[in-house]
Amino acid sequence: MKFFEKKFLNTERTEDTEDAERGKSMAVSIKDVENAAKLARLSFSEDEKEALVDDLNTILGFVDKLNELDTDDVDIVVNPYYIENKFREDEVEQSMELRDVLRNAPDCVHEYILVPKVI
Amino acid sequence: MELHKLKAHELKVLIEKKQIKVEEVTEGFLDRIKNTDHNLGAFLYTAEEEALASAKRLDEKIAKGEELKGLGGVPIGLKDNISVSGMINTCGSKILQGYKAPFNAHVVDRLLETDAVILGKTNMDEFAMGSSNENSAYKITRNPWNLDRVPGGSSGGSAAAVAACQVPIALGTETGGSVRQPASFCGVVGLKPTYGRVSRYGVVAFGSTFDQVGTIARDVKDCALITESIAGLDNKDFTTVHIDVQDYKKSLVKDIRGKKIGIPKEFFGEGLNDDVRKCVEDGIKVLKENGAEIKPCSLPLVDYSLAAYYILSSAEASSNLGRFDGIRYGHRAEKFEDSIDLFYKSRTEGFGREVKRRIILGTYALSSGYCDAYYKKALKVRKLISEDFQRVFKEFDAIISPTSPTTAFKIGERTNDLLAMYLSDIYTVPISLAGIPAISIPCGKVEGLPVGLQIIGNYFEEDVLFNLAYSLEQEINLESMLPRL
Repeated sequence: MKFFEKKFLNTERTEDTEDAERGKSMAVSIKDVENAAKLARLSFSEDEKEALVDDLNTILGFVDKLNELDTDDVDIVVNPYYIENKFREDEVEQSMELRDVLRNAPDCVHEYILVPKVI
Repeated sequence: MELHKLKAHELKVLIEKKQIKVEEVTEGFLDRIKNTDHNLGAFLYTAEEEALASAKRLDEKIAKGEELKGLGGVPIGLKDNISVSGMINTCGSKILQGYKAPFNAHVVDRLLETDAVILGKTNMDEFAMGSSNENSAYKITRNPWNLDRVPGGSSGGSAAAVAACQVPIALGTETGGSVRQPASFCGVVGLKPTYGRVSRYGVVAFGSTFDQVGTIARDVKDCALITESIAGLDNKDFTTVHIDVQDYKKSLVKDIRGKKIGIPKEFFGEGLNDDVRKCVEDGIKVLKENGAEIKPCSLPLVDYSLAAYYILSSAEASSNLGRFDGIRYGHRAEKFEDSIDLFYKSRTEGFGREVKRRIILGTYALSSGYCDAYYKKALKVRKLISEDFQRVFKEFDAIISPTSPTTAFKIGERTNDLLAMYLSDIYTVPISLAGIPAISIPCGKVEGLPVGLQIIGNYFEEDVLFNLAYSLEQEINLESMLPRL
């Protein structure tokens, strides 16, 4: 947990500074992991959660070095380079064979996939 | 004649001259897989029946006097995240156990149109997340040079299969180095084309702004041959571009006079194994002797690449892997209380440890309050790194580095050390962030293990990579690059 302490100390030192606002020193807690797990629809045992806290802090500690770079004036491009949307005609094409698609469904009746009752 | 030792272009000529039937070639390689894969574990599925049926069809074509197209009856292996209609597509994950693809990926259609014979699906790290193939839910793939070592990953099955002559050529996929790093570890040629050069339609998505299908072969000529077969525009993947695919055959010449090559000091610093460094430097000398102009250059921001990569690729993965919910396909938990519980249980049972870790990291990095600090920050750094490369390409035609800082490591050596595992991709990830192409080519061996040299080019200049790689290859003893199995 040496790393966690380092992060924790960092938090104290840089509190209220611009760095803190930019996301430095945000040590991950069990609560954070639980929140992410809920969003991602995954469940973990207590041991697994603790391991994830350590792993995420290791990785994010490494990621912290990004804050050494001033990126205030840099634009965001999501793809590696600018890509324009491409449009094509809305033409009817052959679909996949329903039989082949449904063969992969865990549970189905005729051409319907069965799911648990929702409402 | 040991059929399996022949390269794709050699097999193609023999088939063309009717000295051998496609069926015989197919049988020969299927036998090779049978005789070697119990040691190697490269294949998850061998498509014996399908392969022999298509071989027969191609032989009938030839008998009718028709000429075969580009890949002329040559067998090929595909990573198990590339959809082939009717075949499994597990992505190395339990969550897709039993799933059979109901359609062909665009690259598979292209392979079939150019008369390749698909021999089967190769092992991989689960959802392509890993650098050693140890994250496969099914089995371990071993390095054909030393069975105690990893083949690299995540396209480790494809690279090991080609190195072991189980197939002459294979396709892998790349997000951060998953073709180049295993190619380097296994002593074969591996290309990651430019982002947008090859369609990803039908390839299971990991990091959509990185993913690219890559080609693996035992020499540069074969690598160029498959790349030409699969590259180009596809209306089903809007990132593919309307830029003509070059005639790569024209680039396969030794002469590289006038080519300017930059050697970035950041890729030769701390962490690089000394013997690997020497091997790569020897390769650079060869290129100098062959006429290239070699000069130092600098890419000061590449040190930030891994950090930006793990945020962005995990963020994209967390979104892409949302589709595995136990509803329409894939694993569904047996017992559940309601639909939400079904999602939880199916996903928790179906995904392995590394995949869950990255989903959690990605979800965290995208979640409210952290998105600006991590995801957006990483995107901005990505842009700066791309600009760094563009600055260097104003002066140079290509950049050369090692593909990975070490040779293949031992099985189990890095499974408990996250950062050590991630560090084996330190020289490949910057290229993936920028979306430019790069090729790994064997340049020698250290203690019996192959070393890969990476040649990096500018957008859509795969031809320059093939030219330089081919020139270097002329001085490499390829016979010495065949492992004994």
